[in-house]
Amino acid sequence: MAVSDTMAPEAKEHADRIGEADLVVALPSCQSGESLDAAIGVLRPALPDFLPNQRIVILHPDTATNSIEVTAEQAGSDASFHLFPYQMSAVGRYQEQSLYEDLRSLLQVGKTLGARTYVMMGSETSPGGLRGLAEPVLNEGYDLAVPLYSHRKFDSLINSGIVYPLTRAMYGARLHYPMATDLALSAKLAQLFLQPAGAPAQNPSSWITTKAVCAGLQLCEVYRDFAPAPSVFEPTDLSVSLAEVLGTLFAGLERDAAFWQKVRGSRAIRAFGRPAPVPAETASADVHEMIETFQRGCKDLLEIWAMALSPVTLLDLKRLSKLPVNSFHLADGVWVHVIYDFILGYRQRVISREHLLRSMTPIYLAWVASYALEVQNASPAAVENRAERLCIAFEDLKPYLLSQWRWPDRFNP
Amino acid sequence: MWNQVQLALNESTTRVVTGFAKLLPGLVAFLVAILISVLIASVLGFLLRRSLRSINFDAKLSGWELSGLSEISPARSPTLLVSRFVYWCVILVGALIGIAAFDATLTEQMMMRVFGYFPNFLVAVILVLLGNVIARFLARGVLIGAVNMNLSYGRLLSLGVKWLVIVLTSAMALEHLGIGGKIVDLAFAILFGGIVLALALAVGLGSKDLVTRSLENQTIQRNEKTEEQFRHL
Repeated sequence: MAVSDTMAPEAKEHADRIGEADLVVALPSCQSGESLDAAIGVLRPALPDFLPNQRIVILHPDTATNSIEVTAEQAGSDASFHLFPYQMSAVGRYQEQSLYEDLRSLLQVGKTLGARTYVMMGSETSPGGLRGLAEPVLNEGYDLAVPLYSHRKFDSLINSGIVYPLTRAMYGARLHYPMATDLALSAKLAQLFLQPAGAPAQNPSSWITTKAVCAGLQLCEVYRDFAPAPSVFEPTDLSVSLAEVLGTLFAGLERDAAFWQKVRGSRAIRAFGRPAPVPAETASADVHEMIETFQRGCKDLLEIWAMALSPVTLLDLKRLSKLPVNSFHLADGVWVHVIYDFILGYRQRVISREHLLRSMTPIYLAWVASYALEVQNASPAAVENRAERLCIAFEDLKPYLLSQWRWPDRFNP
Repeated sequence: MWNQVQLALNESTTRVVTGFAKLLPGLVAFLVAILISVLIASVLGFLLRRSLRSINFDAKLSGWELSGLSEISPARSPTLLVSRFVYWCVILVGALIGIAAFDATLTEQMMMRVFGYFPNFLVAVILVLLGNVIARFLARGVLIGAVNMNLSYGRLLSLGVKWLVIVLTSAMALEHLGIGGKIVDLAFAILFGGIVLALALAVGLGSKDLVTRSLENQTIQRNEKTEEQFRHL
């Protein structure tokens, strides 16, 4: 098998010793022996009850092997539970390269063991989280299960403002966290991911979630508690994170253009479990500095924005920069046009892509400021409605993107 | 007396006519060479333009992070820049061939000097072009970074970076052309050293507090304040 051929001989020997498995779980965040000890200590007693009669293999980074000899031996004595050290790096959210490499490791090992279900626990290691993700794939026949986190109104803002509404409008599936690093996959999706077209050794140009949507596979969401806090492996500079997220997202759109151009509207995805209650918050948002950054951007980056944005959108942004804080509001239509124009600019390479994506930070901050002012005193239900309105705006304006994508030279006022 | 004047006039007329007759083939050859070179240059330019457009040269160049080149190109198209460069090179060669038709020894010397100088000229042109592209790229990167950090002097910083690179590459180009000799080196050293000294003095003395305060405000406090309330990832 081409895939297992790429495994190191020791790993292959280890896989031969284990034989077969039903479920392979990757824990890339356990980079140290202590963290692995803690995770195994919680998972091992709970899993037989949660997932009875399943042969489970836990794939963990090989950097964590030395300090868990005792645990490994104990685990090894149980025929249905095995540890498998393998080369893995910690997965930062939205850092698609590390997730892609770890997914490849997971799927290679899982395929060698003939696994039916693969679970990537990129950020959390709780038995409840593992069970919640694995069950729909193991028992309900789904190909991909992703978490649906409850989130505070000012959490995961890049996801709420760009990633979710855009992927929903483009791919037609209401997957709330398309860039989640906790995932459960079926053997069918693993096979698709490992196909040569899925390109081992190539940079990922779209996420496994969008790949699954494009392939017409069965997807579901699983309610989880609040999204985990950013790990130490994630960049702290907002413009770097934003450029990374948008770069992967836009590259995926370029790659999947043949698919999303045919999609109209969006469909709901079945969600398992119950949502965690979101506490009502009414803290006032301090948006002055964000607005200031946007105003500075309007002064200094206008020439760069003009290469991507249409004149009308540019004019709207100029008007917005002159508004006082209490009436600062970025309309959904303008925001959607900004995103769509940047997608087109990215595609046409109007300037260096890195520069283009990083230059979007002040406009993104303007959106955050506007959104924060709007929902700072809103109830969780009102916040949900607000998010839904934004998604609908993305869907309604999709024909604009389609038209400019197909005919870039068409007059665009 | 009159006969001698007539003879002198005849001789001078003969000399002028003979000289002109000698020059005429050269002139015609020059015009023909120019005409042929214009023809070849037009065909070559056209073919080059067609083939570069067929391989989507402009987009590919942007993909190689050389979008700065399009900014200095006519109609923002590097394809046009390349084809026009080739066009004028062919015409230049045609002109040299044409000049060679007048006087072989004179033009041989001129050709030797021109072709001897040509590599230096080419390197200088490449240096200026490359410097321009790098300067614009770096300036834009600095400007975007500065705005994202909410620095008020982003444009100034970007302009400074741009001109530093342009001055550096221009000095290098002039050195390759052999123009100015040591004056360029000296002027460049004084200019560059002066800028660095001025910046050091500004940061070290006059603007010490301002810079410290600014950096603290822009990085630490801003991150603390906004990161607590807003989580972007």
